[in-house]
Amino acid sequence: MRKTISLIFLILTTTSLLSAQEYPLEYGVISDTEWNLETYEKDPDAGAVVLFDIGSSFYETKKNGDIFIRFKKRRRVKILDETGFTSSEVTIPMYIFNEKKSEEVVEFQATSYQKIDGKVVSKQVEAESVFEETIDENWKVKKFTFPDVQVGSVLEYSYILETTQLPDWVFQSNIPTIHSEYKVGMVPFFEYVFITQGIDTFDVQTVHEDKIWKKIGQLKSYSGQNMGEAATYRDLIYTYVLKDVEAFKDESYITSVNDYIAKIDFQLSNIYNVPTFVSEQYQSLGQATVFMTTWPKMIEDFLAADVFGKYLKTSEGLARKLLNSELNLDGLSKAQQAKAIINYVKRNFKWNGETEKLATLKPKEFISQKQGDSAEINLFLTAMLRAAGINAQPVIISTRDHGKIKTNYPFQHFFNNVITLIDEPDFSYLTDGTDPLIAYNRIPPECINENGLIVNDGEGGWVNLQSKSLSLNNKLFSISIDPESLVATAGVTIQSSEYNAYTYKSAYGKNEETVKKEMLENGFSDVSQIRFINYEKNTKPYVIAFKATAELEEVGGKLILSPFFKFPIAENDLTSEERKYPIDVVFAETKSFKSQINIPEGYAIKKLPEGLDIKGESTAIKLNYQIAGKQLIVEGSYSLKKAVFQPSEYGEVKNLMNQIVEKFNQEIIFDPL
Amino acid sequence: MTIKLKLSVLIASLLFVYNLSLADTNSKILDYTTNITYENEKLIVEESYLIEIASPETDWLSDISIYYDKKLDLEILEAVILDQSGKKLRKLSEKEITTRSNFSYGTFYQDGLVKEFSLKWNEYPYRISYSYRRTARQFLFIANWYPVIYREVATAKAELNVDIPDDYSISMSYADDFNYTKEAGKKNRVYHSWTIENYQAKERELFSPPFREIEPKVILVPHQFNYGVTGSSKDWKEYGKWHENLNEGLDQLTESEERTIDKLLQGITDPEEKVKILYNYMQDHTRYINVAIDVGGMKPYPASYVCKNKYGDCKALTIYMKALLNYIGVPSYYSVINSGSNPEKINTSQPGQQFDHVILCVPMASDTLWLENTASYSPYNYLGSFTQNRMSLLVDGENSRLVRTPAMQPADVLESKIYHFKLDKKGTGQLLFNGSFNGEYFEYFSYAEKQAKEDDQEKSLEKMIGIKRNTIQDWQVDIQDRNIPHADVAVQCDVSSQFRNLGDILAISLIPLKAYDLEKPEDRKLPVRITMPVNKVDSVVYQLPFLENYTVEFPAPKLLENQFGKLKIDFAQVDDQLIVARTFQLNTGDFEVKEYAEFYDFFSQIKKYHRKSKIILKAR
Repeated sequence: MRKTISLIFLILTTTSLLSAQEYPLEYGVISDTEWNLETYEKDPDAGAVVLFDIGSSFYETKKNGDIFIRFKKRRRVKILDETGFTSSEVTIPMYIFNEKKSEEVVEFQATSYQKIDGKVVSKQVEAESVFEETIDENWKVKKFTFPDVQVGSVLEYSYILETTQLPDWVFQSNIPTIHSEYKVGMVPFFEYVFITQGIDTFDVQTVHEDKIWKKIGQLKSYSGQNMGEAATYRDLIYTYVLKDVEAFKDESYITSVNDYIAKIDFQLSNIYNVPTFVSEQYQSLGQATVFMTTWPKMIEDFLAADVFGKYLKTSEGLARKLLNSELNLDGLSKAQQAKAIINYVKRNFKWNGETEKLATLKPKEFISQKQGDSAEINLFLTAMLRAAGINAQPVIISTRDHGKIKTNYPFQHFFNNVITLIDEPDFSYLTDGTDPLIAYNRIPPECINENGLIVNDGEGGWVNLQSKSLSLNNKLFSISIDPESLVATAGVTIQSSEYNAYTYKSAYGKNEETVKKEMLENGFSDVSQIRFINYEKNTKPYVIAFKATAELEEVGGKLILSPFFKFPIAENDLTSEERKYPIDVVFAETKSFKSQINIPEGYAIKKLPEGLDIKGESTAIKLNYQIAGKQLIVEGSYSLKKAVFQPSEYGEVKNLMNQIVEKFNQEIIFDPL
Repeated sequence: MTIKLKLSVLIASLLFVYNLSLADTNSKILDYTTNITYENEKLIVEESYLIEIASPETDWLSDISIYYDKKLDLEILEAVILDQSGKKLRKLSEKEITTRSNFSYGTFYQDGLVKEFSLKWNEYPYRISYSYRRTARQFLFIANWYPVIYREVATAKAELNVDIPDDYSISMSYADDFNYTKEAGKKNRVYHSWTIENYQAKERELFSPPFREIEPKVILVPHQFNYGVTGSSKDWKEYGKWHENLNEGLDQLTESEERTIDKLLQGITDPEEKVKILYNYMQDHTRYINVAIDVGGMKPYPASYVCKNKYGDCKALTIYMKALLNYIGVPSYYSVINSGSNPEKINTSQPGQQFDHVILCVPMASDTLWLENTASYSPYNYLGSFTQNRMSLLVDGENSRLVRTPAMQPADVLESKIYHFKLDKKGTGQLLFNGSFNGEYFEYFSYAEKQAKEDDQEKSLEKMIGIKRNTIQDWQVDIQDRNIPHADVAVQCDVSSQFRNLGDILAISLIPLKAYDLEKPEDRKLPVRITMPVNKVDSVVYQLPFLENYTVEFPAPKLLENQFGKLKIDFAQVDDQLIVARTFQLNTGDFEVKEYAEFYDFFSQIKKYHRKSKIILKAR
């Protein structure tokens, strides 16, 4: 559910104050209800429960006139059993804006309480037990653990964080939360939008005007003259409350926890009537203030930036020289030229593993280092294509682990990567220069995440990142059986295309040992004559072929064989009854199996297992047995025809998986004549 | 149980980096040189690497992490990319180096830092060369040096050069694989040098000693050192005395804690009972949290710190337990040890820091007690797979000495399982499972009872029962006395399709025994070490009301017995019940590599028997 409101221009007809609450209680004042809580009835297995988690953000002015946001947070947890002890370790993240400026915790207290013989004993976390750690260039954390934690302990902490970015609020945690509340004081100069996620309706959502007049800025009198600037205003206080929020549990096949956890994000969207000192200050903060503007304005900003638009321009000139000196495009069609350029970039520039939307290196440095992050590579790739006269545009995207872009809200921070769109009358596709194992006209699976934004002078616009091509995975077995030694010898061919081929290539490389090991796990005892075909040819089906033997089972004179060995999935990961989140399988695929089995002399098949043919809305599964002379042919296939299934389609997907597990693992019995 | 005590040995102690990437025989460490100089009470260690990267698969070799301590000087001397002829292609710039805190699993906070940078190039092969210098004022080793940098990448040449005053007394141990030279240097100094060429680390093999024990290494320990306090490693007694001095005065309770203890022990007179009560009190009121700062993680936080915070690492919790016992006049000894189910053996002839954990030894009138102080679920006087049967340095002033902790006996690890199936012709019906566990399963259940979620416990039970098409309906785990290492487990399950239906035949497979993925004898390089005995006794009963309509064919019973262990399987029919009785035992010990063929044969016979043997029911 998404909402946009213009906070400052709302005229309030009612000023509804929060009615008397159970929470918040004062710091350290613990009610009998809290002491007596032994299990949380809505989740009896919970080892701990958040009694309340209360936060607030208000603008304030420092003595020197700097404005900042004072973010206060207070959280109280009850430990219900020993599995809840992990809740006694707390991490407070602090953003590092740049070398000189970062968020700071200015006031902090943390106390554990427990009742001993009816008396409350409290223990403070002392300053020397609070540690600071640097995670990377952008984040540092404060870390502490509560002392004297017992089953039944109440743990409470509060802190004040000074920042210039309005903090978001996450209502959900890995343990259940009884009461979560966030208050935000809006000022007349800044307009925010808020975006909620995983929340249908708030239990309380109010807004009222504060009684107190506040002053921002400094007004000084010199000889009767007013110097400086200041403004007065009253806060408009927004309150959001959620009660009884269940623990967040991770499920398989979701893009990112960040896409589903219950939270509210605030984004600066506009500035009004701001005293000049405020706007100056804000400009100097750089990255800290990313306004929501409009998509066209954002695109303009990207194009004007040294680390994006200008990088592109400079690169184009440098790329033109490289085109002349390093590449021979004579006689190639435009489509062939594009392909040659993409492959050149993949071959000659090494991806350093970093995913970025803005370049860090200068184009010259990038070319001389021959390595760079995804932005440096793909912006350069775009420039080189342009230098050859091919219509190429950068497309900014969010990778799967970075979460989804909310297309209603033009914010830069939704994006973390850039790829390239080629758009010619005769051909058009998305491309990426970071991974040599991927076809020139495909992007890595990690980049397939809904839509990307085209950054160009013209109209911009969105491009769908989903791959329409179906990834294939065919396995062929030709099997002969030796009843004497109880060994089945199989020629195995694994043929794959598109992302399935990519998966095999990244998993095995061209390493025979790895293949052997993997195949031993699939039921073979001896693997030889391994061949890799088309490893370098990304647009052709990739083939792994080998010879293998498997031990046969014999029971009471009958021979038993699994026609697809242990390749079909043996267990269904989708076990829960229902599903709340979409099932994201990344790419559409069809998997097929075909076994040709020579029926050994002196044996016959009395009864074949049952076949199967089901066509669903977006799935299909088929299994067929056929005896042709001395050969048994078993063919099976199944398809997931799209990459993302809605929760309403969960039943269909789950059922498909069940069918695969059950039917594709059926055994063939050879009876002695 | 979790891993404890951080050994940030201030010398470059090379931890093997396990990288899952593919082995590449072409990429190699061309040169790894370590130069160590002891001068003016400072230990200066310079390490330099020249690495050839032959293919994109081994590009990870160009991601460099250098771990160091906040209190140490670390200076990166050089970092360049070279082509195969040694021509410089690129030099790393200062701004490409990032610094972050070091995090490690199981440690809440440590004060170590990591410098990271990357030296990648786009044409293969290419070389990278980098070097750095660390300076330490306090250290326990002159060198703790391995020529293996990455397990899967061979080292073409490695060299350790040590330059120390000729009157500087050290103990030395090194593998025969090295070429060792010693020569007098100028001005009363002496140069030691070790080199090795074309060395490839040994591959992982099951049931083998740990790598740190097998791989060649050079260990140099100063006889006199100053680490927190001055100490000596002349012999184990002296080294124990250093620990004692470091711990001096730490084992005192706060006054309020003393009052609590007085109350707790009111009316108790039996000393052993008191120890037990205090041990359980310590378990119930403290948590294991590893904060590794100061003196390289060797000096414990004082007992008063635990009195106040009720948490600590193994050292702090052990000192606290010791303080509790001090207070009631029971002497006890801080005992450093190597933890884990397959620990590196102590080199008894080279006293020094070889340990990663600490427990408490309490000699009582009747027996010697051993207390593990980091696990709230551990029974009293129970060491288990984590610290059983190995050398420990008992810190007791002039009497400090190495002692061996008691070994787990077969009875201590007995796992007895009873499966009772009631099934119809389709193999569908009920299973009642009863397990009676000592040893590792007990360790799991005692831990799980306190710290694991119910779903996770249920999943573990499912795995332990080890049969397919099984749905758990209900289960109970019963640990009657927290101080007795024994758990009883009862599980009720619905099962289906337990038979293989082959037309007129129903076949029942044996419940699988844990299979080990052993390499063939011709591939085995390492000797066999079994650190824990195994003792499993299973009875499987199939109650089949329809049995009168079938004839039963049992497989031949099996008896295998040798120095490694024993397998015995018998079958019986009693009315409508088919019974399988199975015993499997594994003995502890060290066995030479030439005995491996027999070891392998033992397991392959077991595997083959289990795969081939089926109970066959034929319709009459």
